[in-house]
Amino acid sequence: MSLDKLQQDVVKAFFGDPIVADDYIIGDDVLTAAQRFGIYKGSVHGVLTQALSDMYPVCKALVGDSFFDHVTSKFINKNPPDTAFFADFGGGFSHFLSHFESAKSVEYLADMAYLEWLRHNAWNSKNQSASDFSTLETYSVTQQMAMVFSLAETASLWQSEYRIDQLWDAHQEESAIDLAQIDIFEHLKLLIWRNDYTLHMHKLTAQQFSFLNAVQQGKPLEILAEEFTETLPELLSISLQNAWIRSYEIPISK
Amino acid sequence: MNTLPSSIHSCGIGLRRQHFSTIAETKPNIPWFEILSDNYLIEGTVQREFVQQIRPDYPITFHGVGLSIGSVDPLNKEYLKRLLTLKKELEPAWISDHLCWTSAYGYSTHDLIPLPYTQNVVDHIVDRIIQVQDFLGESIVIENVSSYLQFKSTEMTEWEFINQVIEKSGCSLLLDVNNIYVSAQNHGFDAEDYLLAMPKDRVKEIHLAGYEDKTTHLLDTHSRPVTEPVWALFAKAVEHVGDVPVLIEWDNDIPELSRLREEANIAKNIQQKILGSRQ
Repeated sequence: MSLDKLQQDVVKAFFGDPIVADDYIIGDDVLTAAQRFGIYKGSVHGVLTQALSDMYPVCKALVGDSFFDHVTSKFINKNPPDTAFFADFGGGFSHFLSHFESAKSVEYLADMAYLEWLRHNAWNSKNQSASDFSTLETYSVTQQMAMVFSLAETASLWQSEYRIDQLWDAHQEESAIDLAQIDIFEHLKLLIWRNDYTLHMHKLTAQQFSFLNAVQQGKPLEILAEEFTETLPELLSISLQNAWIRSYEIPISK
Repeated sequence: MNTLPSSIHSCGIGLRRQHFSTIAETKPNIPWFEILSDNYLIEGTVQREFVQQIRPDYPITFHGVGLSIGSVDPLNKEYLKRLLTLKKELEPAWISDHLCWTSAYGYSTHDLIPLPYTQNVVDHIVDRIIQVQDFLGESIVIENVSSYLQFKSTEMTEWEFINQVIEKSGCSLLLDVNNIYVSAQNHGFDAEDYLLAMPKDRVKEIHLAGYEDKTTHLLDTHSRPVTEPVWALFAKAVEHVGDVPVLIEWDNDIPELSRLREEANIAKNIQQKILGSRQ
């Protein structure tokens, strides 16, 4: 038996393929070959289930431990980790939930999973120091018009048809939000980002959302001015005050 | 000039995020920390910044899972690149991983799967360890894993396998005493035979942890205190390998840092007693 064949069959069996354990593993009076293989399969799934549980605690609270274990087991078999970087595992959970028939009764579950994934990403993305915006005025008008702003590398803009932010908040210890008072069916535009050890979630207006979206697309100040006309000063001001915009660059003219 | 502390001695503790704030606030007198390098491979994350913050105060070593040294897949270049960047940034005393496989055919199990102990596998692993050492620019340290199964294709004992890998690759050994005990109980061999067969001059570090008794087998959960039989085996390990740094691992149901320090003190006392009696 080659190592190649052994690893191929064993790893595929961890994620749902059948295996004749007796072909590979020594069984005895204490544990059969299948039981010994099962210890490893259980351990692999246990590690991954724990990771999903840590990543999606509010989803777990919404559906209960038993259903969460059931759905994560199905997810793991359908989406085995394909990366050595543990922080990258579990990103497709929201999409999986949106197509998982028995999860559809909790209609906002997939959105909650997506919010929790964005939060996970913000924790696991690069924190960066802010640019010195006090020097902006030292640039020429031409340079300022060419200026390109950036959100934090940890930032995500996201929309939902539900007040997922409030629902998430209500599931935190010492939350001031009463679950019963949430009007869940309200459109939400959200910015999620991290600054050092603090993760922020800001509910945005439609205009703020459009503006930050344009910034994230790398549009220079000249284009932003055309698109947002007289509202630009206010949008820029609030974005800088809240540190939503973290840095800027002035392209070097050739 | 390098001013970061680098002396690894006595009994250290595995760094876990549950203890970050305690460590930052109290700066406990712990000789060194072992960091789980896989958790720090993304630049600019909270955990990486924390280690950068405490690094001037503590010597550290790296301990990984993702190298998958026994895999048939090509070595993961991206993983190695990130590990090298982290090494340059944090300057660990050494880098360790496990003698097993964790990924294959593009799937990553994030768990330690044992190997069949054959001559072909020895050659395969030696070749990969040499590649890793060339890439990282240093000799690495490989740990014996605990196991709950043995493959039918195995041709030699685990200790014969380890000796060959160490000898041919030039790497060092991270001797996990708990793993020896767990595997010995699960497979019915004598833990002392295994221990005394280890190449004592190549042991760079000793690991200690707790297991869970599942009645049919012992499970290496790292969720309990070190047990009496493992302390006894550890004493024999110290007699065999001499003054080697020891580390307490605790990964699940993690208690307060003070509880881990109690375990470390027990290890230190056993070590000092045995080493003292030999002088």
